[in-house]
Amino acid sequence: MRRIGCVSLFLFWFYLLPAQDRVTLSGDVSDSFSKETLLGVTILIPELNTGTVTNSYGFYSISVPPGDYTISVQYLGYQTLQFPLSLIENTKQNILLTPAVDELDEVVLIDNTERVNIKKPEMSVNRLLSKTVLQTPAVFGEPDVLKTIQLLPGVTSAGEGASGFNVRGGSADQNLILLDEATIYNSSHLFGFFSVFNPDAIKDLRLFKGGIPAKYGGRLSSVLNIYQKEGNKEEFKVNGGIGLVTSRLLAEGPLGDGSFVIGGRGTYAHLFLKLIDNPNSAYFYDLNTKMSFPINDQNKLYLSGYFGRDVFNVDESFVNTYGNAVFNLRWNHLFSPRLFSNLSLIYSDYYYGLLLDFAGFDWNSGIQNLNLKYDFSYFANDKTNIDFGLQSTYYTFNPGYIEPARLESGINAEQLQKKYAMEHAIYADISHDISPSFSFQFGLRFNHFTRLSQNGLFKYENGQSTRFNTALGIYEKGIPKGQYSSGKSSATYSHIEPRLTLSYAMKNSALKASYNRLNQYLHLISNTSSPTPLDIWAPSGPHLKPQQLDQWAIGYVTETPSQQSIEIEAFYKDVKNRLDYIDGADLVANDAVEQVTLPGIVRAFGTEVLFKKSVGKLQYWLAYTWSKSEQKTTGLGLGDPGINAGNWYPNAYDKRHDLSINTSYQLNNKWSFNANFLYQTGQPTTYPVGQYEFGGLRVPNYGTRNSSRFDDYHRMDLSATLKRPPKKDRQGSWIFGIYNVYNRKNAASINFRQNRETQQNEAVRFSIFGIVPSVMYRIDW
Amino acid sequence: MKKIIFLLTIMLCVSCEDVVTIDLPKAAEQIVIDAELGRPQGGGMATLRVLVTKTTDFYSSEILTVDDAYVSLLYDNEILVVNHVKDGLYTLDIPEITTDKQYQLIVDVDGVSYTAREELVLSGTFDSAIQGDGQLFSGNETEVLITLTDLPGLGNFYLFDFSDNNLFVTRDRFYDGQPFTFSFFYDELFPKNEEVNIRMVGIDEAFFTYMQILLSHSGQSGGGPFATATSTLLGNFTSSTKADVALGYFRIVEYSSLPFTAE
Repeated sequence: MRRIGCVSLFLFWFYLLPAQDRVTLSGDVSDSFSKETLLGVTILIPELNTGTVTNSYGFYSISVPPGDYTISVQYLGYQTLQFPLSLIENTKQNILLTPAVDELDEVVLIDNTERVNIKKPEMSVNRLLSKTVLQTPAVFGEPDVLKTIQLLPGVTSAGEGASGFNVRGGSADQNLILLDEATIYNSSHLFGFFSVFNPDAIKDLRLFKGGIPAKYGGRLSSVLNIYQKEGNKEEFKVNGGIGLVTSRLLAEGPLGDGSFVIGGRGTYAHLFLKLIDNPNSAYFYDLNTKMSFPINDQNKLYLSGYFGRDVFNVDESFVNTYGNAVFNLRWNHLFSPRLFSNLSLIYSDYYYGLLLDFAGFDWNSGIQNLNLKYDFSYFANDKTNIDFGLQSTYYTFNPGYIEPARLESGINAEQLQKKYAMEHAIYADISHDISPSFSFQFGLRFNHFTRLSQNGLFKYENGQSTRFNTALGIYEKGIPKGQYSSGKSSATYSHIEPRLTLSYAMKNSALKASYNRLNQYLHLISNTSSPTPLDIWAPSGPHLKPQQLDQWAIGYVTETPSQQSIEIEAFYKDVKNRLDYIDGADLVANDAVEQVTLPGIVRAFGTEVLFKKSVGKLQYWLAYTWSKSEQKTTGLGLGDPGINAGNWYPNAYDKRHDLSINTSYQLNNKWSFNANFLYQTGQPTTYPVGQYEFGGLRVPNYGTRNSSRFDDYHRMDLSATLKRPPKKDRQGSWIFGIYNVYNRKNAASINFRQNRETQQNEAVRFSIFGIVPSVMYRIDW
Repeated sequence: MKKIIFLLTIMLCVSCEDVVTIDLPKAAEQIVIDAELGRPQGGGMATLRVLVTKTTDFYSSEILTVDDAYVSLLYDNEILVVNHVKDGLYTLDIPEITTDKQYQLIVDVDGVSYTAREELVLSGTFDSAIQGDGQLFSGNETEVLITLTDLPGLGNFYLFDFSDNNLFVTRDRFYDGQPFTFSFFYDELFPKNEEVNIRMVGIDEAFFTYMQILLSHSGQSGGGPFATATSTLLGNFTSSTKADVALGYFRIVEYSSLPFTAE
């Protein structure tokens, strides 16, 4: 508690900083044509060698001594704007930026101004514009957010058919994915072939891999923040893409004083299965929408929504439906030009349904949360910003409701025990420039997590939910010894999470260091290496302890005036209470997963290099990561061996080398070309060390977990875009792509089995995509 | 259910499977004991069948049998010797087995003694196996509709042997005490107009878990992107020395069989 006291004192001190001799310049920065707000725009005052950037709503505020200044506004892809301004009193100045006329011109930023972005006490953050995502070649020509993210340093995935992504050796469920601040539980369509984000509806995205601000919590590895467009405030616009596999359409336009966006996307039904003469189908669709309603200069309302579903239907005997739905109402309010606030009410829902007619049952499960956030930013002066706020989330977990699919099926209807939890957090984050070169961001977050009472939660003999059978040498389920009375089945966890980032700026470069602690109270119950749609989330409670992470990182960043940059970072991560599962753990319809888990620890460390050029005809980035991620599960501490004899073993996300190159070249106003190359060390896996016969079957005999690896993963993708000459209001473009150009067969899995015909044992490689050519037509009007 | 998902994934890209040669790590030989003491459902003469073999290299087509083991069954303070028949198989008939006794199987090989102790597990009734007209993915499968009646309140588990290396396990988690019908699909290689025996065996939870892992290891239900973590599968044998561990399982069960002919 003493630490909290310190922070409030600290906050108080900043609040008392003399303000009367300063005036505040504030406002919004928007695109001059669409009036779409722009985030991350740099606003500089060269005379004072200071500046600020717009927040995620396009708002900026900076307080300086009164005087005559030059204001310089810079943003990638836009013309730099400079104007003189006499600041005598608090001034509201909305700024419009015009897109760079000729994108081929090298943008040279004004020299001798300080690099605000470079010296910001912020590290391990990667930012992508929707434009980059749209340009990156993708399978079936469908641009994809998650596939583009995987080209960034420190980000890998389990392969094509695997949903989610892994950041710095962490699992996919350790990523907090926010779409307009609402949590998305499953980021993939069609088992990972596509992600749930419509690239046309996205404005900007940011991935925090470390140095995570205190505003965010609840997941260990990363925060992926995706901002949807607000829509064109000037004129009605439509754009769409027609591809071989998917099509999408997006409409935007003014709505009263505000704007709206509505976008839809879908694959053609029967797509993959139509070759077979069966009434089968597999498709997905999603809808994105956002509306903004400015009420006055001080108040704005935003409404965002997302709804997506995947449907697999095999002859009505297997019907699988799943997807996310989110709804978010936000209210931006300016208490003063220096105090910005946002109140959000968010509902987020993940549904998974399965009808198995041949097994006679229908299954429905999901997770819902209701989230209330109140976030404030106080722009104290040109050196100090304070973010603070409150967050509350109420979770409902439905592990499954089973009912008979047919009257005569013999299935008894059953509701698996629903679980409930509350998570509260309060946080404050101060970023402050101590001197022109030295700045820091220091934050504290206090979490309070409550697993709410429920029926049917077991107690165990000696408190051990998992037992070790010494005679047989195997782990077994613990023996339930009564149940918690419903009032006592709850558990409470409180944690303080310090976050610190330091930055020391030199002429065109900066040295940075960060530390953060994070706790994760939700567990994705899955013993596969990538999430599947039927994975089930469970809250921490009396048996499952929250996962806790400490991460340290140091980094160096340098930028030349022609906007070539090099970022180098090294990180070390320590995770406590990471679950692993006993051999043969059955997780589906398991009401007591604590009986099949063992807690372990994880450590990961590595170095990332990012070399980037983001202006000019030829743009590229090259990312290389060397890293190691290992798990250690020592067991119950009763002379039991744990997993792999209690030694460190690589986890499924351990990729020693990870190289990715993304380039784009604009030949002229008609043609542009893109290329990707990816190389990753093969994923750790377990191979058989022999075979035996049992029950008439040939059975591979497996050795220790994850002691072998798949062959290395690599592939190259190309795309070419041809812009058609504009006709009236219409602009069309053809996008030709080739995914996996040299037809590399990357293993998604290797299956060891006996050949049905030859009776000979064999290893069968299962790879998802060979070479995939594609063509897409895109229209804007 | 993960199996079905995996099949779907295969359907999505039917042509991306190929056989590859992988240099596999090798391990020392281990004894494998596949032992079942079973009686017909409801009671009758019980038979003990013990198959003793050794693990071999994964790519080897031969299975090494152990013909010089000394196999015995201990119950009621009495030791019965199980006779060697051929190719690692040892058998014994027992007039009556009951649920109130413990049966101990002892297998002595090369100076090491492997022991497993089990009790009889009761089974529900196997009502019918009739052909259905349902299809799954390729449209060439043969559907067989299985109906069983579960015993109420016990928590029963079943192992089905559909012949032709098709094994399947199910539990009464959602159909406790009910007559229950489910479908099994034979693939297109399954012979038509040929009678096979479908065998249902009542088993306990430990053996059910063992078989689930074993089936996933043998590629029967899985692999694929949704494969569960794999590692050495240990059964219920203990060993007289710490260094030697026997694989395999000893179970005491009730079984029922019905004939089935696909048309």
